[in-house]
Order: sequence, then structure tokens, then C-alpha cells
Amino acid sequence: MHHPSPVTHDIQHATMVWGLLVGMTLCSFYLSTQLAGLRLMSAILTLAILKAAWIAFDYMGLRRTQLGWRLAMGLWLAMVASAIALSCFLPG
Amino acid sequence: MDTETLTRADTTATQPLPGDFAIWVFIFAELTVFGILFTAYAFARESHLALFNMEQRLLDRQTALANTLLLITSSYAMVRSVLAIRADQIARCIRWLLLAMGLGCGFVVLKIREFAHDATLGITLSHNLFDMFYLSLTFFHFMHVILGLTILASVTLRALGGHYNASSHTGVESAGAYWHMVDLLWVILFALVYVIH
Repeated sequence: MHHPSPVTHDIQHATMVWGLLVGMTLCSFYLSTQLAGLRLMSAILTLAILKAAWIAFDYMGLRRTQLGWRLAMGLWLAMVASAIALSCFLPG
Repeated sequence: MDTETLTRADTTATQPLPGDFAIWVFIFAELTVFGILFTAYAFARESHLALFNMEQRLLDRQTALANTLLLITSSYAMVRSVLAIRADQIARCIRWLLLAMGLGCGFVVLKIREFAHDATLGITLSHNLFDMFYLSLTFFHFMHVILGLTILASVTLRALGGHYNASSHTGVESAGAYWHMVDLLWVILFALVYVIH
């Protein structure tokens, strides 16, 4: 059975991640024309945090790095996401 | 286990952090500053919801979408340049670096046009709370894009001078990590400032 070389595999992976990020960007933009309020916020925030996580772990090369660094970036993203979500969802 | 399987096993094993350690200290410091600004924006928005929703309508969302796509694609080009140098393909690495810079310059041009358009609409730092946050956040990020482009230009010049190869390319990885941070920040900025309403 033929396996792609590691470089080809990385290129395919990066291209797939890029496609997903572009798709999610267009999806969030489309959603903003269809929804408003809390439903829009939850959808967009989910997409934005997912995109940020993908960029952090794949593009920034943390996917295969030591656990401590992955945890540090994960914690940072979780902290910002929860602070933003908390303030966005607080009753006005 | 054949050679191909061994090579794949090597690449999927845990690796040290890509790039220079110092750039990661810098990245975490920058992310923390932006994290505080994003949180402040979110809390300010919560307490001035009507003002933020009204002012947000004046922003050029199409340009912001184009800028997001430019930065995400530029980050992809950066990934390809790092992969190329790891495979010792220096010419290819330089071509991808130039593309990453070109797309980054596209972002700068669109953003300058957007700032100029904002000025004609009377959007200034002292106009209201939303404008203050919008201009501060986007201009602060804009300065990071300029710094990122300067780093990319420096790395490209060094690559042209033959300073990098498959076994020594920390500079390319460091520049890549910084450039991805710029992208990561814009992704959150785009959602927070332009899209959520």
C-alpha cells in the first residue's frame, strides 16, 4: 500500500486546514447576515475559537510539541474564550 | 517496520517547540495583552449594547472579510515556506515567503483604505466608546502586521543569502510562529468587532 511521504502528508494536512479555515470564515460571515443576538454570538464565537485553536495548534506547530506548550496555548484560548463568552452572554 | 514507516513515526513524535524560545515568550506576552483588550471590549459591549450595534453597522464588513481571507491564506503560505525549508527546498521556501508577504501587503493596503474611509465617516478615537475600542484594537493589530512583514522581509533576505537549510532554519520557524499569531489575533478580532451583533 502506498503511503505519502511525510512532507506530502504535511502539505495535504496544511491545505485541508486552510480550506477549513476559509470555509469557517465564509460560514461565519454568512451566519451574520441570517442571525442576530445570542444565536449569532454563540455560532460565531464557536467558529472563531475553533479557528483560533486550529491556527494555534496546526499552523503554529503546537500539534506535535510537548504537552506543556499545548496546555499553555489551550489554557490561554480557553481563558479568553470564557471571558468573552461570559461578558457577551451576561444579561444586559 | 520499513524506512517510510520509521520516518513517519519520527515526524509524528513529540517535538520541541518550533522556532526560537524567545519568540514564544514574546508571543505569549502579546497574546495576554490582546486577551485583556478583547475581554475589555466584550465587557464594554455588554454594557453599551445599543451603541455598539449601531456603530458597528458603519464598518466595512466586506473589506474585513477580504482581510481575513488574505491573512489566513498568507498563514498557509508561511506554513508552506516552513515545510519547504525543512525539506531543504530553499528556492521554494523563498517563493512561499514572498507570497506570504504579498498577501500581508494586501491586508495593509485594504486596512489603510478602510482607515481612510473611517476618517471620512467621522470615526475617531474620541467619537464614542465603540470607535475608541475599534480603532485601538485594529490599529494595534495593524502595527503587528507591519512588524510581522518586517520580520518576514528580514527572513526572506537571509534565505536569499543562503543562511537557512534543512538542519538550520530557526529564523523561518520563529517568523512563522509570529505571523500565525498575527493571523490568530485577527480571527478573534474579526469575529468580535465586525461580525457579532
